[in-house]
Amino acid sequence: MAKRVYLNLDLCCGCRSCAAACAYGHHLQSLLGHSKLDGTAEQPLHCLHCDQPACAAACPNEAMKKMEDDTVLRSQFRCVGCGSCALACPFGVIQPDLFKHITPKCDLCIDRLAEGEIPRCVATCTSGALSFAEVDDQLADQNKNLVSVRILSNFIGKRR
Amino acid sequence: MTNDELMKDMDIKKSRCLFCSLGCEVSFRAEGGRLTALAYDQNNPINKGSLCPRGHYNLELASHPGRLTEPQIGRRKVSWEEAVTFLRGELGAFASREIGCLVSCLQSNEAALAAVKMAGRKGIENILSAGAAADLEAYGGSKWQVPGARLATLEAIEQSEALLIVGDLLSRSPVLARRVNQVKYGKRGNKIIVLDPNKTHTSWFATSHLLCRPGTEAIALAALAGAIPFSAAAEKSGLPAAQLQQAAADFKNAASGTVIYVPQTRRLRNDLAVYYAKQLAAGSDHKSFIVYYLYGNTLGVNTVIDRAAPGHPTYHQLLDKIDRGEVKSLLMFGEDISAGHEELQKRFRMLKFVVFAGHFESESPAIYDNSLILPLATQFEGAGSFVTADGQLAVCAPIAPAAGSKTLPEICRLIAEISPAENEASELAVQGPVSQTKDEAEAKAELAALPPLEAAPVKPITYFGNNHLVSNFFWYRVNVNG
Ligand code: SF4
Ligand code: SF4
Ligand code: SF4
Repeated sequence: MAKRVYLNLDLCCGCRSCAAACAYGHHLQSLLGHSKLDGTAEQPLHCLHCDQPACAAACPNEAMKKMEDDTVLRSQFRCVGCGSCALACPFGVIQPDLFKHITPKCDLCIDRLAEGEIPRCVATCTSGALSFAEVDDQLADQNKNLVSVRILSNFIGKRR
Repeated sequence: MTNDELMKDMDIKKSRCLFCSLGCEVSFRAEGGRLTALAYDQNNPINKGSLCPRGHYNLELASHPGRLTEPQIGRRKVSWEEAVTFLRGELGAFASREIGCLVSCLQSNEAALAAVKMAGRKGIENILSAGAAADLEAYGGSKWQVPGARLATLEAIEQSEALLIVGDLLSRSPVLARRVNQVKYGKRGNKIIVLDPNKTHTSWFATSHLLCRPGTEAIALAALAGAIPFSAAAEKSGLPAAQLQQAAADFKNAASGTVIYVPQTRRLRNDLAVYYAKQLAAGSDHKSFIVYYLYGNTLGVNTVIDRAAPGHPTYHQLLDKIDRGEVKSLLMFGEDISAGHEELQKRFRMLKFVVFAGHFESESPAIYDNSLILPLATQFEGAGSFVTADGQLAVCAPIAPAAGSKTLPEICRLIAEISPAENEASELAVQGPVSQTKDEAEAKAELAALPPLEAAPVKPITYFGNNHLVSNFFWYRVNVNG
């Protein structure tokens, strides 16, 4: 099974360090957005790399593709920045662009994965909220030792 | 491949982050001597590879195209030789009591000692530290002697059964979130008490949030420490006496506990608050306190200057001297304190000569008639030691070449002949703040005289990278200004 980034919402302090790490690793453009839960809490919105990605279906130019390794990647050269994928994604993880004509989309730090490293957001997470784990492991773990039922991404992950 | 094996293969360079006094370790990947990317080495015990958004700016600090590389007289770029001749000539025109020298709390212990020695050689008495005003006030309070009050270690924080956090700790040092979580979810019954007039990222984690009126933290702390009655504190702070009593009992009954104080920029006597935070921690062997300063080496620089140059003036005394025209020349080492500060700039226009040694261009050349700018090396380019909030010595070795810049000890050596012993500065710095006795009755009188309190302000959410130390950096510009 493929590995994914998981968020334990109970631990996250909303510091946006993950987004900063993402930006510094992707030509200063963060591919990771944040939502505000209430006035004080924020949570990162990670791409789930869906089995049937709505973003890819919506893309008019085949820039967004499900790859063989199970990740959903955007081709820099094909993307025209129309933002259709952002509208299509049911989880709202694709954020309005920072720079014109570029729609940001998480690539799971493929450059780091190729070197056997974990994604930057997970490496830098200040609170231990993010983990990079096999989808199945994580679901089994959830019953064993996760602290709360508010594990939003696991919940969504099950519905992949 | 494990993280260990990977780290062995790559050219990894390690240093420390100074954007707050937690002093996280930063690791870089190096290519051809240049620092090209952050590496997140998961093995270090302080931050386990994590960096907060500000910590990421270290990559830019190391490789920012806007870094100063040549000295400047006004707007004119000059060689180091010319700059030094100019500097000596200009300084020679002033009597030593007409010169002031400020050392930024982001500089190393060695830099602070070199500045003190240089000042000693030149007979300059006006030498002091520059940093966040709230930090310096809190540091003043940490000097007041409270028998039995001990400084917390990072281990003590995560092993505590009760944390009392004053202020928005996690927006200053988010990397502590992992330890706060360890307390929160480590054992059933652990308490996290947050004392803050606002809902913040930190209060999100609180098991009990004491929403006091702004500026009354010192009063609430005094009540929690048992120095004043709950009822008196309740009246001023707006907190129900029962809630205060419950929090005091929770903290007292916990087997181990840490008081974490974040200096507040709001109208509040930070020194008094730290004094009562220390009293609260002094109760037992398993309780301790810690103050999280914004500037990375607030403890080190202040300790070195206090110990090596006793009797130095205070910041306000220096400003008064400038207003009266007694101080005519100012050396600002590490930070242009007047940058973006119109009121200060107006006062500083009286100065005849301003020297600024820093990493980035400042406003000085444009606004002061006679100024000299010197490019200053960062902790990545010159060796130095620092003292983190928990009183530990952090030693940085140079990991990148200094492109045209010099460290503060080198600059001081160009001004006067000095020769500090090898470990003199770090040995001085780890001794910690000089201790002063504070009269208990006097403290209580000052507490009672705290100014009347305004209504609670509606505060927008603080962005974690937001702070003037980092306003040159990309992430700040896009997210805060853009
Ligand atoms: S962008 Fe949205 S739709 Fe596309 S793979 Fe990610 S979560 Fe699924
Ligand atoms: S770095 Fe971790 S704690 Fe910070 S916002 Fe991201 S997930 Fe949350
Ligand atoms: S928590 Fe403090 S020391 Fe750590 S990376 Fe952030 S600013 Fe630097």
